[in-house]
Amino acid sequence: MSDSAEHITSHLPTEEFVQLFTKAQRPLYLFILAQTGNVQSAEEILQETNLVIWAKMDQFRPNTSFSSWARQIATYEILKHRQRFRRDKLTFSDEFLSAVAGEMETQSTELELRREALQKCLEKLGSKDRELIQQRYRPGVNGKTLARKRGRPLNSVYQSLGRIRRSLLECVHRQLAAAEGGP
Amino acid sequence: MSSFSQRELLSLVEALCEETATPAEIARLEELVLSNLEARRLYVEAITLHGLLHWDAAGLGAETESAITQALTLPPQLATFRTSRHRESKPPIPFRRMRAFITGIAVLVILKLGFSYWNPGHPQLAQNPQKPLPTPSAMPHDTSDDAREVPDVHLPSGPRRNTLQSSLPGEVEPSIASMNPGAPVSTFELTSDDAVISRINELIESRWKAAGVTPSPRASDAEWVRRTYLDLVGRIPTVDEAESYFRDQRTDKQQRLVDDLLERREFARHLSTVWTNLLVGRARKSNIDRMALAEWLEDEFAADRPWKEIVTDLIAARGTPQESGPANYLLAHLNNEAVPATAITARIFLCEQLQCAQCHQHPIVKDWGQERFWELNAFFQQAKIQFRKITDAKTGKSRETRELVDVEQFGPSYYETLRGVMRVAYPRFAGVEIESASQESDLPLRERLAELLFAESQPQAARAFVNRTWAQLMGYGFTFPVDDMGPHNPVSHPELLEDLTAAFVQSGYDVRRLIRWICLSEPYQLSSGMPRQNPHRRPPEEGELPLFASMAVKNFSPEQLYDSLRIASGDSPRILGLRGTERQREEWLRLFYSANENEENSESSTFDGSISQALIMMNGDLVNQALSLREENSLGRIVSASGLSEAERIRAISLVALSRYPTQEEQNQLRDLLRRSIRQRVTEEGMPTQVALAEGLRDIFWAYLNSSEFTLIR
Repeated sequence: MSDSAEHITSHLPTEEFVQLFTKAQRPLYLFILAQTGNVQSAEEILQETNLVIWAKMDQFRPNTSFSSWARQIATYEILKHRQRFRRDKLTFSDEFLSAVAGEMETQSTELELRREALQKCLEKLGSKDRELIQQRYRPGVNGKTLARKRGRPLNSVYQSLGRIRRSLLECVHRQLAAAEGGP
Repeated sequence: MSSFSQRELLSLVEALCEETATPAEIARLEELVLSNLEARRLYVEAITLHGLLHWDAAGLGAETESAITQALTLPPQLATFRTSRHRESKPPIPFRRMRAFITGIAVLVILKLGFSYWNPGHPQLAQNPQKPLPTPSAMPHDTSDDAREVPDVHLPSGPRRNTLQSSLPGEVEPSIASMNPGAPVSTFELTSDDAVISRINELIESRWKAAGVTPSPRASDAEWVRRTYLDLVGRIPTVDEAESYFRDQRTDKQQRLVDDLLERREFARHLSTVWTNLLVGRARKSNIDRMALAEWLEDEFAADRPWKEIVTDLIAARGTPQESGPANYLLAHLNNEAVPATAITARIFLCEQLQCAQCHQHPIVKDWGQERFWELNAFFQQAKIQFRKITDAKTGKSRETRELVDVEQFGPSYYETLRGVMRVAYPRFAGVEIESASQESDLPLRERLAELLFAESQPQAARAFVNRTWAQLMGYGFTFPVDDMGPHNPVSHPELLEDLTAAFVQSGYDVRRLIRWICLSEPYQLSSGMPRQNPHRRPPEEGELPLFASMAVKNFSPEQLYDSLRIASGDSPRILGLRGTERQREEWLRLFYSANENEENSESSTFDGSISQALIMMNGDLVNQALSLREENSLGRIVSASGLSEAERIRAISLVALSRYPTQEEQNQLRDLLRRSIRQRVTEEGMPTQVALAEGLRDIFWAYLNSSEFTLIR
């Protein structure tokens, strides 16, 4: 069967490609999310983008930026997706997309720092807040289902979530500022 | 640059995150973001926070990234990936299978569409046309001692034709050579293999013409290569083997493949499997060494031993289960005064249902009285099972073992007639009676029997083997059932049966050559799809004799299923012949079979399309192994192969499981299904795309393996 394996897998990705691809997943997802505002559509678009990336693997030139190559593909997929759902979903304008995409690119270098800072900030949360936010972000859960599960009024859950996210945002901000000014 | 309220912007982002934003709020958000650089930055920070929390499940899935890396570089870990990200929410495995099951059903429907397109003919042919196991006697064992009262006799469920009924004389001659009264004694001379093949074609085709039937078109390459591998080596072809056959442009490629397969050790192994099952069944019995018998048979078939000699060894063998492979046949059946040995010998080697005659006078064939059964039984009265102490080579300890021997002192068979009178039967076969064998000849009775089985110029033992082999390859024998060749049962092609028997005898009972003739004959080349314009014919089960105008659809045997699943999962054919694999296969078969100790030593099976077979298929370890994504597995390779489109991956799966490419329609539907399942997994279960793709392909492969087409030989 080893011969047939070669037949089926005639285009094995290089290890480098696999690593680049893997590392790009989270930034790419965030890049798409910022332009759709919806986690589900973002995952859908990411999936379509990934399929195109795999299919066009041969077109990627080593030693060029994988991220910007992938972002180009994603941008196209976002437009395609928006076209498909224009009628029934809230969508952003072209200007908004390009402005946000530009800003994402600027911020992309500090994304990893931001992620690490967020981990620390989550640990700093009070246990009740941390539990609430973790429950909120379990797969398949949103504010509505969380309120139902906890038996709390929807508005008060939204308020709590908003408060926690704001404090996380401020905490991440402080962490980044400290890191820049730190040793 | 206009100023803006942080608070306002963040509350708009909140609405976006919780999917409660109104069009007006979206418009306001756009306005802020586009008009103010600070707002733009804050928006990106806030939405990124939301995204990070979502992607990493708020810190619960921090190790995601390393898991993806592992998953992608090391395909074996793909399967375990979900545990890291979804430790909390991972559905239990039955649920996952349930999911797969739902997708699978959809795929099965698609495959079924494809299949009925291929096979517009007789869906009922998909029922098991073979009769691989001993079935209970067609006649009840009536011990009534009132002979004038005719017992409630059911004829064996063979088809009956008026023409043949009328050709049956009231008295049937006792000679076995006249078993097929409609058939002339064959004068066929074996000059060459081609002569036999042309003779088959001529006699089969003339019946098509007479019946006004158009034969099916020739089988496609895909149909034929899969059929031939399954029939000759007992498994599906590997992707390599199938594709190299597709690529072969030579006009004699069928012949080349048949010759290639017949030379392989796998052929001997497959034939050994078929005959081991016939001889001692599949259920494991502690008193014999089934493997020793199978290994002996494999060696004999591999060495091209003539069928006559193999039968002689089986009937005359002596020794212990371990030391003497062929002895296991009678060691398994000498219980109950050798009644099972008698019935099974008649049924296996002669295709005669003599067990009925044990207690009944045959209603049509006067010759088949009780004495016929007991005269055959008398040949086994000299054989006994003794216990002998042997020293175990490994442990050095002595233990008792059974041993098949021929004793000096023995008697004839005694039986009770229908009138309740005790009668004696001396060994008698083919018109030769051995009055007092112990004095007349030094040869043990069983060796005499083996001689007599092949004593006539055209012995029934040869005819029976031809009929069995034809049925094994063509789905139906010349009689239905294949092992009921009594004079009461019509033969579909009497002349052909006689000519093939003559050729087989003249070849020196050459098993390979017989199989080669059949595999290269015209009817074996035909597709299993029936042309629509043909007059409707009922299947042999319903009493109409086969014309072999299209290939019958055969079910997999359990062994074919096991071996094919191993091949589909990516194992090399070489692995199948290893002792360890044989043992694993035996273990697996035990899931389906249990033995009955009765007069025919029959056994019960759940390998019959029952619920339990379905469950073992759907959830069994064997199928789960095939579905594993280890990189040496077929599925693992298809999943981890990069640069393949979804359509190409689906093609690859179809080729692995069915040795054919999917039809365009199947392909389209499967691709849509795959896309939907990926989307669902990614959006509802939060699964990364690559894992969702792997899971989706796994569902499709699962469905392929569980489709009816997978377990059919077409």
